[in-house]
Amino acid sequence: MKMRKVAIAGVGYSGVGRNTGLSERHHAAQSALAALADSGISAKDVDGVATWGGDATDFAHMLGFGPQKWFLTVGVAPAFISPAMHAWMAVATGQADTVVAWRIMMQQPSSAAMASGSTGSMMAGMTDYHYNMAFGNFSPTVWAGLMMNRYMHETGATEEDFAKFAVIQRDYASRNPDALLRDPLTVEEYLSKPYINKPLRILDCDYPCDSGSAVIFTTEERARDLKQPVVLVETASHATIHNMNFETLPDMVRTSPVQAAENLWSHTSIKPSDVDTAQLYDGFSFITMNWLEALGLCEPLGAPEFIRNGGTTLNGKVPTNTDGGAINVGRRHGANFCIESVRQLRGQSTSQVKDAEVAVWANAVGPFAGAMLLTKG
Amino acid sequence: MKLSGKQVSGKATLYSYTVANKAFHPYYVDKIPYLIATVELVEQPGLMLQTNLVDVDEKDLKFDMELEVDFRPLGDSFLIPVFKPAGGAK
Repeated sequence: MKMRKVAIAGVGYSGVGRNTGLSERHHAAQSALAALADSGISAKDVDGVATWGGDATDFAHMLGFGPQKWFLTVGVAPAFISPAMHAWMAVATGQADTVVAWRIMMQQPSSAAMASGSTGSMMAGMTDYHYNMAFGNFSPTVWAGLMMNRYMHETGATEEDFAKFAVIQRDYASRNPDALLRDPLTVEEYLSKPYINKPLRILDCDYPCDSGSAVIFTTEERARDLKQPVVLVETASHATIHNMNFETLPDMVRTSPVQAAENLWSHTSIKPSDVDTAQLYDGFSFITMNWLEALGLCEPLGAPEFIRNGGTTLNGKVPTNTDGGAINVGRRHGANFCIESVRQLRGQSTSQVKDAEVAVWANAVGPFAGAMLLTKG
Repeated sequence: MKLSGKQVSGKATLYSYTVANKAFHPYYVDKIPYLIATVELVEQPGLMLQTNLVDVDEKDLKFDMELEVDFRPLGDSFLIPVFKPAGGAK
């Protein structure tokens, strides 16, 4: 079978916000229509769908896409990279010509709901959850606190380093109208915010919201006739190393991003030193640091120093999370990193990296992860 | 290969820990802050257990320090394995 070169032709968001009152279907429809308008593709030309959040078949019917050649509703996965990889491969293998990939993420239950004993916070795919609850672990912020603390121990990172990271990301967000948090932030303000699971503070966590994100994958050939500058998928990778119990990872500093990055670079002649901008998952801030190291964009255990020295700023070696990251744009569960990469390679970012030609975006940490490498067409 | 349970010594080292500063469940409202940890049992490298740390202050914790098991009630019906510094050391 001959593999086809795949392009990303359209990107779009729904009306993202806190407790929007809209359904998953609303967010799916709004984001898909935005991505179709962005690309110039008409609904009848979509012949494949992949989503995490809602149901792919339902969304295709709702949007009048017509008969679909490829459809997938993703289960628990490393965020948006899963529907994105399936969409890419469906087009590359010729199963479909134009595939919409979604991540629809509704705001998690409020802390008030959880404190009243709501079980709505339990993840359906979580295994052995009784081993968490018996020890007072009801939130992903616990594994984040454990992983962050071990990371600080091994790297020597300080709370001030995490404050600096938050300040740099907020600076990017201040220029991005899509960001939900845009007010300038200082190191002192970060340090004055409460711990959730020490050393993890509230500004180390992505910002819960209702979001719909849609990305359209099609052939390079077709993309050349569409509205936007062409952005090509060079390659992508997945990795899983453990079951979903983050708390029992035997090495919390080197997790699945290491294997996903090795897989990624093994598929391409592009090298880490060729990367012009990186958009790296920040569900919790230390995850971006894990990815900088795993991808070889800085030295192993060197991310805190890299960030301290301005490596992730617009004038730095690898401008990173240039939309402000999910800590500021809101939890779009990985999709914002894909969309911001596309905008950078089109020259449309609100914090544009000059002459950006290679972008890497990456999702998740711990048990599973994935990454995708994009180039300017 | 036959899988079966095997008794362990109750000795472990401290791999990582976090302070629960916020109660996400009503049972813990009057118990915060408390310590949640991942410990590595001495019987096998990579044999990790999630647990609570007791009889120790956060400021006295050291990564990789030696710990020993203790058992504490959870509600009226359960005993759960928790860990404290080995030999009562501070």
